[in-house]
Amino acid sequence: MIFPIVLQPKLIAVRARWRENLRRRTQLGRDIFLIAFSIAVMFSIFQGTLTMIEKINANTHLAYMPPSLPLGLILLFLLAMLFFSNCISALGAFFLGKDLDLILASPLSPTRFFWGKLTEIALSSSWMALIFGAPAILAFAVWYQASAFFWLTLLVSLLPYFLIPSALSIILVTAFTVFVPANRTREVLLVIFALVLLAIYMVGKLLTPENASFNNVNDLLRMVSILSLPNTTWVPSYWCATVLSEVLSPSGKNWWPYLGLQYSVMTALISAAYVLFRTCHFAAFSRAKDNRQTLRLSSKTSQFIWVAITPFIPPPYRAIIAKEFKVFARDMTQAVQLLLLLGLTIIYLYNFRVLHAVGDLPENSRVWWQGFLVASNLAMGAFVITAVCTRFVFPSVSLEGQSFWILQTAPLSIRDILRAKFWCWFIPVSSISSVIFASGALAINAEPHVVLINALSSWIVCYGIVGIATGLGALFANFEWEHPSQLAASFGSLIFMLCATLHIGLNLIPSGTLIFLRTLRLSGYEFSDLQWYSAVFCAAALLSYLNYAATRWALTIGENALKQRMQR
Amino acid sequence: MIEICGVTKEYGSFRAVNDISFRVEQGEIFGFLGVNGAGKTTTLKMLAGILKPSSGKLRICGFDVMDEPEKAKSVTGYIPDRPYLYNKLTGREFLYFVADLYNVPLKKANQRIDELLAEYKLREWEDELIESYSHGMKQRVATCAALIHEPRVLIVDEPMVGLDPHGAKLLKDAFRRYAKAGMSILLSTHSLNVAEEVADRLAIIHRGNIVASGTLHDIRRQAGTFEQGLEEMFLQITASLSQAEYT
Repeated sequence: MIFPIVLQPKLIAVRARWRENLRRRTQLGRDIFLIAFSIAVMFSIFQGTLTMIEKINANTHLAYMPPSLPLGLILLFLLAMLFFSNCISALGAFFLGKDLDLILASPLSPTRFFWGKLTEIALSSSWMALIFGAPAILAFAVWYQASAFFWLTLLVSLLPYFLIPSALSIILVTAFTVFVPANRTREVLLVIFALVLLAIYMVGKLLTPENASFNNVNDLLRMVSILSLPNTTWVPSYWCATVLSEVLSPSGKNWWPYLGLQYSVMTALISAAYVLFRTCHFAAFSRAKDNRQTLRLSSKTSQFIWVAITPFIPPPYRAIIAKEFKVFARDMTQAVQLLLLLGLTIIYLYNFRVLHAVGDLPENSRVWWQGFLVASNLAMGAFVITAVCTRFVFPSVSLEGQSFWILQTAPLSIRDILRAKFWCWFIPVSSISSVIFASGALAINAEPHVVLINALSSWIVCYGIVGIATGLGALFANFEWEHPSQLAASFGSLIFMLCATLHIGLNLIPSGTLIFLRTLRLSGYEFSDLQWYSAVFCAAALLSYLNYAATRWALTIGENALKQRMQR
Repeated sequence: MIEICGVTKEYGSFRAVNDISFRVEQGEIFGFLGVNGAGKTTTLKMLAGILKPSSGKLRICGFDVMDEPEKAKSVTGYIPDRPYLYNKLTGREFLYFVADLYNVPLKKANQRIDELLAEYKLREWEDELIESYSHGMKQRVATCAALIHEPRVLIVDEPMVGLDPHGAKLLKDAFRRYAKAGMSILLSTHSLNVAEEVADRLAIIHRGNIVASGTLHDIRRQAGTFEQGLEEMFLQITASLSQAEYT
């Protein structure tokens, strides 16, 4: 057997953990609840997608959308997620994993090592995309009454869809590690980031919405469809979407060239990854071990400056904050994650910017469209923040790893530790999110006070999301991780994302109501000042309470979970 | 200074530590001996506040470890058997981190860090990341961290693991000096020469039970022999207990 050798210890560990949970039965109730919750969310995705297909098909007089377009959009989104998590997993699996010394010292053939690791990164990166993507694809299958042939094609087409990003990420990560000395990674990443910004700016210039004219909703929908980009023939998600939609369509016959394209590209990329692995991995692995980093300031000077600029922070909190940032800044995997997330955020903002071209709509529609965009900005911005928190805040307790004893033996309570972690991440995440929220509002030409309110509300929403991330990170803390990337792709992080989604939905009730009332007001509906300001006050109070309560709840269950660990 | 009264620790149906009691006085080095899996590390982790006992009381300088954990921890230094530290910090940064956790003012911290780095021969490595340190160097950094706030009690788990002979000598001398200055030291080890060399009193733990305790002389008397060294006595006591359990 080729695959199981490298994966065997991990599979055995998962089975042992599962058996242990069953044996103890203490977590059975929690597990059942979590599984039920996950199924409920999957059902929501299914139902949401079904409704979307229904709406699209009911409004074909506005703009015709073939199934490949929304399907392509979903698969493109998942592909971006897959590529992102595959890069992080590949870095861990091939260069930074704790098991590598043992595996490389064993008489295991490089071919078996390669296939084992390829399977590992494909599995660990794909399962979450599968959970989110499967209900959406199922909705398409139900709506278009898919035949048995569709299910067969789906399986055959999804294999290259998942393996292409895995192979590509191995190529990129190996090439990166070969050419970039480990102690120069940060500088190189900064240069790459600057190039990404420049490229986005150049693309943006070509897509400047000022140059487009919108005379009716049809034009607008067409523009949105183009910008949503599933129609790029060189993107693997397009091939998969075309295969599936052709099979779904009764007259579709052109599925096989795209399936052939998927398999030939997959084979080519895996072969290239294998060749690169055989020729470069050992040298690249050795280079990755060269971890001597030069500090720009001596430890003594930097501590002196840090203490001088933070006299108001209690020393234990100051210690944890400084430690978190230093460890974060010096960890190559975190830098790569940050870079990819920033790239995705900028793409999101740029896409969003295009939507501001609503000036030519009739006045009445324009007001409602603008209101819808403001609400969307809040929701989408919150999802971007959730993505940031999944990668950086949720794993922060687990990242203490085997060093957690240092905090446990210090004169600090578990509550203090979690609070320090919370504040440590709340300030930077809120600062970033206020920029994202305000940029989103500016991108859609919102009025200055709306921009300001967006920026301020981002702090309130962040309070809740960062709190949930910290608390659930403690609840699902895993101090025995092989590599940090597996924390963000764990079951716990999935639960965090589901809870954050629910929280964002709840946040949209007061904020959405307020936006609705404002839109009514702008469309001529009469409100007295007292009525309006009462509504504003109630919405703000409800929003604040909701986020405060969410953080308090999450930190409490996180604290209790960490305390319970002491009894084990 | 350290009091352990009737402490038991159970993991499910397995009893790792069974109703043990002992006391370590001020300025005393107390050796805690036992084979692998005897319950030494579990006991020390309970004292350090990492594990919660199933029953019994643990007190450090009069503070109950469970009821007043912050007060007990503020007078305690803990050196674990495996020095897992923050690899992305430098040695000096790590010591600043610990000093801040224990509320040591910056001026005092600087002075203590300079002293400790010099004492444990880490000065030239202070601005290097810990990930580039050897195991012995990490062990010495962990020792410096445990001492930075000048604790009254030191809990040490297998201190000599991974240390070269120079490092081991350095540590043994340091322990004697600290005890002389009034520090209480609880030292868990399965290295019998270390226990014989530095400990004032000893306890032997076997399968969670304390089976012998007192000075070396007391243990000899309990074993019924005055000619044997600690190693022979230890083997004799633990072997006879294992044999009795087997039959």
